[in-house]
Order: sequence, then structure tokens, then C-alpha cells
Amino acid sequence: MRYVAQRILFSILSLCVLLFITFLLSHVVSGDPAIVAAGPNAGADKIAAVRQEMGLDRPLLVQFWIYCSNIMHGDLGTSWFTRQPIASDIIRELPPSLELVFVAMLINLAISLPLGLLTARYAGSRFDDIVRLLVMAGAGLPIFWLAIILQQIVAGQWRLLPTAGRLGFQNRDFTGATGFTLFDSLMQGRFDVFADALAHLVLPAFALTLLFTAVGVRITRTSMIGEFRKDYVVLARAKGASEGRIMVRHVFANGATPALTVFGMQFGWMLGATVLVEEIFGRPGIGRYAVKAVTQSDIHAVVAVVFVVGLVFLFSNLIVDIALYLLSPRKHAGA
Amino acid sequence: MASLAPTNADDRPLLEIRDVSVALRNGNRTMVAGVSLSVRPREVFGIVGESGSGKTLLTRTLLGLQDDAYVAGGSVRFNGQSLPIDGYGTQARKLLGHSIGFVPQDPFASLNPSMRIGKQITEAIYLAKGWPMGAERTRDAAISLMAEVGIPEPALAFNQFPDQFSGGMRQRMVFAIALAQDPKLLVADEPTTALDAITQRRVIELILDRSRKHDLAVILISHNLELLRQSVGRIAVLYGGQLLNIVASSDIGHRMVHPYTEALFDCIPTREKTLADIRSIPGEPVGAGFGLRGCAFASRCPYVVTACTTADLPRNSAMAPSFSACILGRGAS
Repeated sequence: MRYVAQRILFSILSLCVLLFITFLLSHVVSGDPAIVAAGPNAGADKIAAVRQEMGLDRPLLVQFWIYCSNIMHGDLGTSWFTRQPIASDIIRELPPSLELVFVAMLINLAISLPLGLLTARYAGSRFDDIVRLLVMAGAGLPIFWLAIILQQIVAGQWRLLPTAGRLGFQNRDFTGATGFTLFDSLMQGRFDVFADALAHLVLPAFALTLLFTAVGVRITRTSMIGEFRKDYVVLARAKGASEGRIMVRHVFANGATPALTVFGMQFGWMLGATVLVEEIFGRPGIGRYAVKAVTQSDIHAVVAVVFVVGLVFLFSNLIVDIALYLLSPRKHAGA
Repeated sequence: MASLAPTNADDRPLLEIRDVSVALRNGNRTMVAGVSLSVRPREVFGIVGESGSGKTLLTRTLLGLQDDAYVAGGSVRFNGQSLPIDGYGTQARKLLGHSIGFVPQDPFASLNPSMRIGKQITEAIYLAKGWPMGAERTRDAAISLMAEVGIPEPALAFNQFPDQFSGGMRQRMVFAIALAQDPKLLVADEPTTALDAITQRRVIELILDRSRKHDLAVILISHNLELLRQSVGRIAVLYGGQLLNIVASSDIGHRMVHPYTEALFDCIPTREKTLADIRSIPGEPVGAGFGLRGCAFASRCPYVVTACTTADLPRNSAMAPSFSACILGRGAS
């Protein structure tokens, strides 16, 4: 439990650093916010009034404190463009992106873990070589290019999957409580909507994950390969365990631990990488929101996205680490 | 040893290897050449050799546990069953888990760190016997095995993880796993090297004691001649990938043995020896697969003659209980 407490404390510290960086970002990058906020026709006294109102005349640390306490109260500022509270924008845009990342992560794990395990077991074989070649090729494909190719061929020419969007036309009015379409449709028993949402997710998720999967296979292979050299594998063989049993029952749990830490980080990176995929596949989401915010110079919205992505990154890492700790309580004693 | 009644049916060797050589898959380099020896049921047999002598390679390959080496020639019989040289590893692996138990060297590495002790033992029972008695009784069997190998509070230890135990306790658990398979032969590869002197003694005594109770034959591999001399009946001496000597351990220090065995014994400080009696062996040891003609020990042997480096070594073709590969006939009975 001491480890969990340490880990949480560490996350809180990281969060403070993240807050400070985003705070500096919003203050340094945007020039003088008071001038912008007061409008183009404001005089010097008006600007000064606005500056006072926004607290910009106070010491930087005080401003930082105000910034932090605003965020703690769920106030991410107001978008200069939509005049909406950014927090409500984020709450609307985050679920579709998280959904995309979840599905991409599932694909990632479903490919990386077995393939990493098998290539580690048969390291140096032709199978290993072929997988390595494919993985290298996969890692070399830019996400945006892959996304466009998949869209053009699988959706456009073969018509196997929908081209773009989040739901088909017939389900355009579907709404749910959480904003996670997959979850909401299951809760409402709307399996047709679930299938529709899933069909819309497959291509973007695949395009998003391929690069990460290439890394995932290699990471998993590396951490598994060391396990196969350990004596407990020899003992398992001496017990008469089959190679399959050794892989699944013995090596997997031990070799997956370091790999899963990387997958935890990949979750956060993927959220950052949704930008291109969402734009190409015309899906709503945090990535597309960020693109819009950047092109409109909506600095508070951009900073809010950076903050939220960072938060998800911290959170997913925290969860993975604590889960790993709880799954193998003895191994992390010194970590 | 030779005086044991040959008519006894139990005298048929449990493991009989003739002229076995082991080569590495990478480059087909022969590492261990022309080893013949036999182990009888319930016999406690030792294999001694310096690091790199090929003792671990030979036994691991014979058990099918060495991926990068294969049995390149000779013949192997276990329990009356002949094992083919082609695809030897697969055949040998089939014997593991029920007929042959194996205890690896390092107890700190040979237990799965993320699996509970009890589960690792019940897995061995399950793999050897299936679930003939159901999960509950398999658990009881595992706990009584743990008690048998001297683990205090076995019911508690059943649910614990390996790193909650000392090296000696872990080696006992590995031994419990080997016993769980109810094998005829137990191969222990340097089972005590990672342990301190007192724990070493206890683990060896435990292995010997339990092997008597379970009618186990034991092959104890060690670089420690003194440990083997005190524990086993016969010792095979390996050097540079050659089998140089098979000798009754009681003969060492009392009768003429192979010059290398003699030299090894001279290195050991015992109560009877004065400091002047303890001599190290001059020169550097040659590794397995040294690839020379003649005797691997010739370069360091005090009795060396020209023929040692040119003539073929005598072979243990008759599977006699003792054997010396010295061409001068030193230590040959």
C-alpha cells in the first residue's frame, strides 16, 4: 500500500508540474490577454480595468493559484471563439476520442501481446524475421497516410466499412447519458447502434494504432525474450509443461509487466495522436477540437486540450502502475 | 562397487548412455565427446567437473532442456526404453514431468516469481498425474510434500510467493516440485551452489534422505568434489568435454584414481591434510570442445607422456561400474 500512496503522490506532483506548464503556456503564448479580452476598440483605462478584473496585475504565483483553483472547480476558462465554457466543450468532445483510443488500445493489445510472446519464443526463426519486417514497415507508415489509404480502399472501393463519421445516418439522433456511444447503446439495449458505432470505429482505430502496435510488438518481444532465458522456464519444462502452457501460464505474466507500463503511456500518446485520425475520418473528438482551436488561435481551448490530454496520460499511467502492483504484490516491493 | 550381485534385477541400469557426444546447433561444434556411463535404480551418482567441463551441457541436453545443443551420436536408454538420436530432445522431454525430475542451479531464479508456491507444486502434480484426486486433495498432497521437504507452516506457504523465502527454502520447494512428479530419476544441477555452506549440507541431506524414501535414483552435478565425495556412491569426472574417470567416492584419497581426479582431490583442504598437501592444478582449464586429440588433461597432467596427446583414450565400452580414461592405466581397476 505504501507503493500505491507513493505512486499517487507522484502523480499529484506531476499534475502540479503539468498545471504550471499549461499556466505558463496560456500566459506566455497569448501575449497580453487583457488587450485581447477587452476588444479592439478599448482604451488604456478599459484595458487596465479588464486586467484588474482578470487578476493579471497580481503576482504570477497568485495568478497561478487562481488558475489552479479555477481548474479544480472545473473551470477551464471561456473559449474566445465560441464564448462557451471550455469545460463543457471538453466534456462533449472527450468521450468520442476516449472511445476511439479504447478500441485502438484493444486492437493494439490483441496484436502486440500474442505476437510479442510468439516472436520471443521463436526468436531468430523465419517467423520472427517476417514479423520484424512487417513491424518495421508498420512503424514507418505515417498515421495520416495510412488513415487516408484505409479510408480510400477499405471504405471507398471495397465498401466494407463506413467512410467517416461516428454513426450512420439512421442513428444520427442517438444520444446517451455518458457520451460513450458504445457504452450507451449497450445500456439501452440498442445493439444495432452498437454495431454501427463499432463499424465506424474500426478503421480510425486501426489507423491510429498501427504505429503504436509496431512499438508494442517490439517492446513485448524484448521483455518476453528475457523471461524465456530464466530458470523457471527450465523448471516448467522439467515439470513436463507444454510450450504453450509455459508461454501462457508462466512467461506471459512476468514478461507482460514491463510491456504494460509502456502500453499505459501509449494510451496517453494515442489521445494526442487522435488529431489526424479524427480530422481525416470526420469524427468529433478532442483532436478535432484541438485543430479547430489552433486554427482559430483560441489559446485557452488549446491549453485546455493540452491539460486534459496530460491529465489522461497521468491517469492511465497511474492506473496501469497500480493495477500491476496489485496483480503481483511482491514484485514491486522496492519499486 | 563391482562386487554388488550382478544377478539382481535392479542392477539393470535405469539410465544407460553409450558413447554419447553433444554438439552445439550453432556451427555443429562437438562440446562433449564419447561419454558412456550408467546409473542404476536408487543409485546416488555424482558428476563433477570445473566450470566449462560440459557437465551441465551434457545433462541438460540429455534431458532435452538445452535448446542450442543436441545429441550428436551414441545411444541412450532410460528405464529399458531406447531413445532415438533423431529428434532426441522431443523424446527426452516426454520423460520429464513423470519419470525424470530436474532441479536447476539457482533457486532464486528457478521458481516463477509471480505464481504462488502452492500453485507451482500443484501444477507439477497435475502435469504428472492429471487431476485424479480433485483440486482439494491435490492441494493437500502439495502441502504434505512441502512439509516433507521441511518447509515450516506449509499451509501458509502454499499461498505465498517465492520471494518471501530464503534460498534454502526455495530450493526445498523446487525439490518438492521434483518429488511431486514421482520420478524414478532426479537430476540436480549444482543444487546448492547458490546457498551458504550449512544450508548446502541440509539441502543435500534432504535430497539423499528423500531419495531413499521415494526409491529415487539421483544424479548430483557439482563442481565441488568434496561435497560429492561425502554424498554419493560413484562419481563421474568430466574435464574439457571428456569423461575421464568414474570412481567409487570411497576410493578417492585411498586408491589410485585418474590423475585429474587425484589433482582435484589434492586441491581440497581436509582435516587429515597439512597445508603442504594442498596443491592447486597448474595451468588453465580447457573448456568443453577443446578439439584436441588425446587427453584433455594432458597439458596439466604431472604424469604426461607423448602418447597422451596423440593416442585415442580408452573407452568405457563395457559399462563397468568404474572406469579411467588414462592411457597410462592410472586408476583403472
